[in-house]
Amino acid sequence: MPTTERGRKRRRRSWVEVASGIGYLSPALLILGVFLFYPLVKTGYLSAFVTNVRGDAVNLAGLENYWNVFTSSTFLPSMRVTLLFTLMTVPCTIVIALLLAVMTNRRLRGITVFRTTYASTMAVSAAAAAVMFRALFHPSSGAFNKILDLVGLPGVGWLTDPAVALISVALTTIWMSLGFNFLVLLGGLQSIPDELYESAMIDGAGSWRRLVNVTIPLLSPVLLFVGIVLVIDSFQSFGQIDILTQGGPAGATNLIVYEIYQNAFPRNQVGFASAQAVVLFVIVLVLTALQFKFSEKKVHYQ
Amino acid sequence: MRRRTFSFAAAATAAGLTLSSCNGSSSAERGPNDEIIVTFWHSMRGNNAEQLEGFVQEFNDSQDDVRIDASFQGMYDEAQTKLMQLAGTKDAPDLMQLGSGAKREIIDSGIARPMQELVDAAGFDTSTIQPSILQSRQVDEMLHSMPQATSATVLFFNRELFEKGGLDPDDPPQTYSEIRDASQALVDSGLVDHGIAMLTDGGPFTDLMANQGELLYDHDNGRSGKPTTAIFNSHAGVETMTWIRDLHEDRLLANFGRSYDDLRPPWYTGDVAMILDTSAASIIHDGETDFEVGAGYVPVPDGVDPQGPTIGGADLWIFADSPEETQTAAFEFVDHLLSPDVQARWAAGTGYYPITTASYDEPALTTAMEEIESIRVANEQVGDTETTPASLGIIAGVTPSEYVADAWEQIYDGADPKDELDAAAKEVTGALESYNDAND
Repeated sequence: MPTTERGRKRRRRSWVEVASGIGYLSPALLILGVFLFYPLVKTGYLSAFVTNVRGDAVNLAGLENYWNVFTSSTFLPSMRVTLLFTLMTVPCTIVIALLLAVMTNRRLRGITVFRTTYASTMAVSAAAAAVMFRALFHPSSGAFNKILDLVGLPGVGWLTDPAVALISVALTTIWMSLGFNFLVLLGGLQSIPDELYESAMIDGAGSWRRLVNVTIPLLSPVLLFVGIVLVIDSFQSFGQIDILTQGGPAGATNLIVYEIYQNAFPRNQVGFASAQAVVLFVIVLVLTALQFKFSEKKVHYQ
Repeated sequence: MRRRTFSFAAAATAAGLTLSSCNGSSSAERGPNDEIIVTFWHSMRGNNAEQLEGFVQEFNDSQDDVRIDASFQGMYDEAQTKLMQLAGTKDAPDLMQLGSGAKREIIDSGIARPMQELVDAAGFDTSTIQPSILQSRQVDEMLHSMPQATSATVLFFNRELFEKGGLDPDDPPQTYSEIRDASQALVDSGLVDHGIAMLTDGGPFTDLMANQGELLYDHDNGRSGKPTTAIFNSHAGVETMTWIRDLHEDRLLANFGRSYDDLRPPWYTGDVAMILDTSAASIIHDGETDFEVGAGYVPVPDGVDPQGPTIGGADLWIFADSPEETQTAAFEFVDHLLSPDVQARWAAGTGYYPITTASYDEPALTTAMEEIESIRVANEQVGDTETTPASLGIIAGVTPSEYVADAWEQIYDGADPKDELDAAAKEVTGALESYNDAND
């Protein structure tokens, strides 16, 4: 019968489409599979075991590693430091990047020079930035303490004083992430139509009013994106910690990913570190979901 | 049609990518002239790397059968992490220099070919090695690795500042109170910001403990059995940390953090008069300073007989996964590095002290000992070192360094030395327990 004939044909065609679809996706699927899904599953598997010095699973530990995560003397302080770090870096980066973007979002002669300058930290790797800041932070030969000395103030232990070290690392991180976020926000600003500003001006809105009532609402999808990426980035900060402080002094900058690295590699406790990684995964997942849920209402999609 | 071919091609390429990472070779890798290629990883930087790679070049030029392919792979810890990830694959090295603290972990991982077997096969005479070094490297009375570079901590000081401050540079301070008085004199005279600096790291603490004959771990620092308990929170440990804390509180001792790269520059520029540093940096210091460098023994508490710091440095490891002939070839190079002549030039060119006793008869070393004070002092200090489990150092899967550094920083921040050392020792004991459980 013609209908079933057509149905079979359609079914065959849809199978062919699925196959070719998978074919197209296969490079991406394979890469995601090898570098994302497999490590994820393996991490989950290892988190249930005690591992030896080679990182091989030797004894089944069940939930013992997870229990140890929450009772260890380092995990919770490390989580606290990470949250503090997020609070220090994310709002500051957004505010400064937005300020720079608003300032450069006008047609002036030579404005591209400023735009390029502000975006340039994007081209600096975490390692290079951290090495540079480490030189600036040095207690005796660093520029910061030299300047303090010139104006007659006592030097600060930028990276050696537990009360200051996290701030120093946060400063470095803000500097590093400014470039990219500036660029994204500037792109967002440029897509806001001029008519809206014009009509706001006709209504008598000053520049502050225009920023709060026009720019920010229309920029909200970009701000949401920037916010989520920054939070995830701050949870994953590693390079600058490794170079600046190695988690010290006294654990003051021992961010969660650095803590996991320490346990997995230098301390050879891959099982325990995997459990920490799974916990971190869940935390970031929940945080991102919350961010979506709470800010979505405020986000204005044009 | 074309589209479908493309997607199949993409899938096939991707599948090929995953399959191509297999390995397993039983015959040695050879170069164009049929020479055996030995991949050698090391952790030497700057001057010390130039010296080591110079010996590699010499060895390669001296014969046609073996070529050593040397590369820097990061500092000891980084390199060890890399090794553990790559062991068993074709990217792993055949021969590697690792910090002397890595012994227990590498042995337990089972990736090394016990050096003793290659020593016996080649008929290498281990009695040429300085007895204390040989003993420090032996585990269960055999060599699992070959000592290649040994160093000891020395008190480096700025002779000019000592003279200006009215101190005698030919009689450097050694006891805790002498160090304190000297620092006070230097700071009071306005010559320096701080008298002394040391790494805020396990290293100096370990040396200060060893120098007073104190153990860090039970079972003789892990030398008469696997260690189970950390005991560095002893009276001596607390006394030492209290001495350091008081120096820091009175602004006599500077805290530049955990890295040598931050410790050395202030000493080079004369902001600090004394630093505790490894003798292996003697030649580096000689090049970086424009003042006369003095050297003294590691500090010791008042009234205690100094026994010498730990025997630090690096060992060479050969790996079981490498083909037999590559292992033999690697050992030829190890043998070369241990010849009295090479050891003497290595010691003279870096500040490490020689492994082989006969190196002390070589003019290269005797001249360097006359010319460079820190090399002379380091070697004299070795001569005076007692061979006890304290100075031989720990053999353990857990190093106390980081835990001690954390405690140390808490103490600088105002915490009580005893409480912090107790807490650190408890953490280390816990880590030792889990290590022993997982690596039987």
